[in-house]
Amino acid sequence: MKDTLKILLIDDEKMVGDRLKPALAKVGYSVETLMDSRKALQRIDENEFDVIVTDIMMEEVDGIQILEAAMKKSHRTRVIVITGYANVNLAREAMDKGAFDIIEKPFRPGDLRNVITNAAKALDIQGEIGYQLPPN
Amino acid sequence: MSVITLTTDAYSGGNILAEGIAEKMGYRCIGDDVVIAAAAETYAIDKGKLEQSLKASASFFNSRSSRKYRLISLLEAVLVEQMCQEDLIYHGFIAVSRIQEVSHAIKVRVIANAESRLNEVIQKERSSGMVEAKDRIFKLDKERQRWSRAIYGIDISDSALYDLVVNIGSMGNEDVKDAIETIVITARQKKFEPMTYSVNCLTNITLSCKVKAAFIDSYPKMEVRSDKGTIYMLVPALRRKNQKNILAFKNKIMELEGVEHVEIYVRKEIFDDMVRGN
Amino acid sequence: MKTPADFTDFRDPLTIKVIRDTYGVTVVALAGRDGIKHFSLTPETELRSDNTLVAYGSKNEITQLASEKGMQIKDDLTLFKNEMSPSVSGTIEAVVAPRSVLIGKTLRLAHFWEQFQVNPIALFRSNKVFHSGLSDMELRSGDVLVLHGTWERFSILEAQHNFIFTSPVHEIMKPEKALIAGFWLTLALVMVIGFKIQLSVCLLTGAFGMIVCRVLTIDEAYQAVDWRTVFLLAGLIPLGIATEKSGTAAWIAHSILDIVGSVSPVVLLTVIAFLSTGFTLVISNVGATVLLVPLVLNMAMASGTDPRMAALVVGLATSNSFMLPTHQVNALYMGPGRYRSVDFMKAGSIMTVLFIVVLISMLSLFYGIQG
Repeated sequence: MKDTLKILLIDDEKMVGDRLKPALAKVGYSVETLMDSRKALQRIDENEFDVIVTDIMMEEVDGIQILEAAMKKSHRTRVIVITGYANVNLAREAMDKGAFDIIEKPFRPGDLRNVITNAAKALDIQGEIGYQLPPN
Repeated sequence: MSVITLTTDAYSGGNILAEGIAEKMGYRCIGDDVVIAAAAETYAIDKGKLEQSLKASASFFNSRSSRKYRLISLLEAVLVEQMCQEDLIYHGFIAVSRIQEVSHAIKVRVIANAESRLNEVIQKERSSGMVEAKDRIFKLDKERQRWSRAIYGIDISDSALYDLVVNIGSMGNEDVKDAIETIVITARQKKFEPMTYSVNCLTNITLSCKVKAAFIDSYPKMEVRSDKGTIYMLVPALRRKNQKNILAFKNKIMELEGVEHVEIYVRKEIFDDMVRGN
Repeated sequence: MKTPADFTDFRDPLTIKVIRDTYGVTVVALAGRDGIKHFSLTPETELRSDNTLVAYGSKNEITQLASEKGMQIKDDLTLFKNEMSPSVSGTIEAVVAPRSVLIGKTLRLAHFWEQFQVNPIALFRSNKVFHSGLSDMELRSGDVLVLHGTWERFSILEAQHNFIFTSPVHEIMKPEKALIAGFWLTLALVMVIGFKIQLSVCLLTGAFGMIVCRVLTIDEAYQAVDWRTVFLLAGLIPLGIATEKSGTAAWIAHSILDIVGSVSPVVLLTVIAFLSTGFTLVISNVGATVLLVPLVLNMAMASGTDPRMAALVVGLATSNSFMLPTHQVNALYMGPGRYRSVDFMKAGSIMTVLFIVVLISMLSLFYGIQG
């Protein structure tokens, strides 16, 4: 039985979730969006997601903290960092801390879908249940 | 994809190092000679002229022509394109300042101690005595600095430009082995892995360089930025041309591979605003 | 309309084709952030941030597009004010000519936008209007495309004979003058019908009124006068009078009657119909009428048929001009359609016979000609 990929999208900018959620849902992913990063921490604790897409610059709890929390919870989870303030140091720090990929904002849904497909493949390789990949 | 750049001073054992690292990591190893040959072929330019452009000769600073900038643009375009295509280690100093923001490009500087360098000169050039050797090294180092300042506005020996500075000491076998080991271990760290952001950075730089190389002859003062297939150009010279000419120019640029969309600006303030917003 | 600065962020590319297929809105002009204007837009052209565009569509469609995609609808054209002014560009209906190079090809395959540099907005075929999917429809002869572009471009297209334009290419429409024009026309007609004023006076009054009210300029009026018609009538009216006065008309009438013999009115009228058809093919309908009326009046009177019937037959049958391209309407599309006389004869012969049959039957029915 093929499962759908469970994705958590965290970004305090409303437009991001509004536009990306349908763009991801239409290819068959199960997407949850949150604007409050603190709630996101809770959610990560409660639930194991396959993929977490998170912004870096957020109030209270930033993306690096989310990344660290996700890594602590499960090494399976693939964390994709999205940020409008990408630079060399940030990118390297995120990679160091276990991020699967880093994408600079703004981007097209297609770019994110590609990265998620790679994440799904990576999860698959680890011998997990086969994931339903979008008909790309 | 993965990139290591190795910048060394003259007679510092850079070649041996580069080849050693390439072998260990399974990368392709290239130097300036390869880049010059590729540029000569791609752009149908005389090799000698390209070699000259890498030297800070006396005439270099006298002639204010855009020729040398153009030639260097060609070299850059060829080099960064190769960086996009395969895992490689590049021994040289072209484009080092261009790829500063690319997080998966590991910029390594290798320094050797003075004595070893002198010995290297004497060995290689046979005829030189100590004094001539010293002179030679001093001249080459100075030249290299002048060149990088003139072209990139930076001091190539500034360690702030590099992720790793390795002292190869006396350049003996052991030292070389250690240096290779150090570099390889560093390169294998997760933080230097290519990721979407850094790959895009490199692709953007490559496209900008290609566009610049193609048109810098016609418009020496142009500036080019690119972002995922969109080219932003500042071409003040087009200010007096009409829409038809500008459209024709745009179409020409669109013919280049990888270019999906072009925006042309003639005023610097608007261009800067636009680029900053990006 | 204008797109906001974050239009493309986190969105799949929005192309002109998608906009047309989803909303039925056609974008005809686009200016990028750099202010450079593009007019002939291929369907794959993408809408980007900070773009200004000119679009055709119904109010609902445009409003829906703007609200769903976060676009701003401007009150007036500003950036494209000059290029979109009616004297520079507009829409026109173009019929795909029978021997057009476009037949059997889709717009996309024919590189329509690049080659013709006008924008198709809609396609009429078999009473159906198509707003979307235009780029992949195979064109057929007789398809009507609504095109938007500059008059300059349309002139070039006109010369290429791939399209037949149903209205003159340079004509600038003045819909605001329609009411005034209508008023003067009505006045002239009322004068003609209601009052016993000379025809020329009534019609000239109407014409004068239109010029005074600037429906058209005096120069445009002069240009509209067709000298060929003037010469034709100048020649034929005297000819008509001459045949009448000299007795030639009577002579011809009697000669034909002698040949035909004593016949019933229906047969006579049919003969007159054929005669009129024949004449109108070689002289214009006006000329044929002017020539034949005195003739047939004589014939009718001589054979005892109601002469008014005969005149009526002439009046109607001189429009029976299907077999040769001598009528203005036929001539109009013969050129662009690259028709030959053979084409007309093939299609026209059946029409001609049908016409006469219907004519005579209707006359018998309505007026009860003794057969």
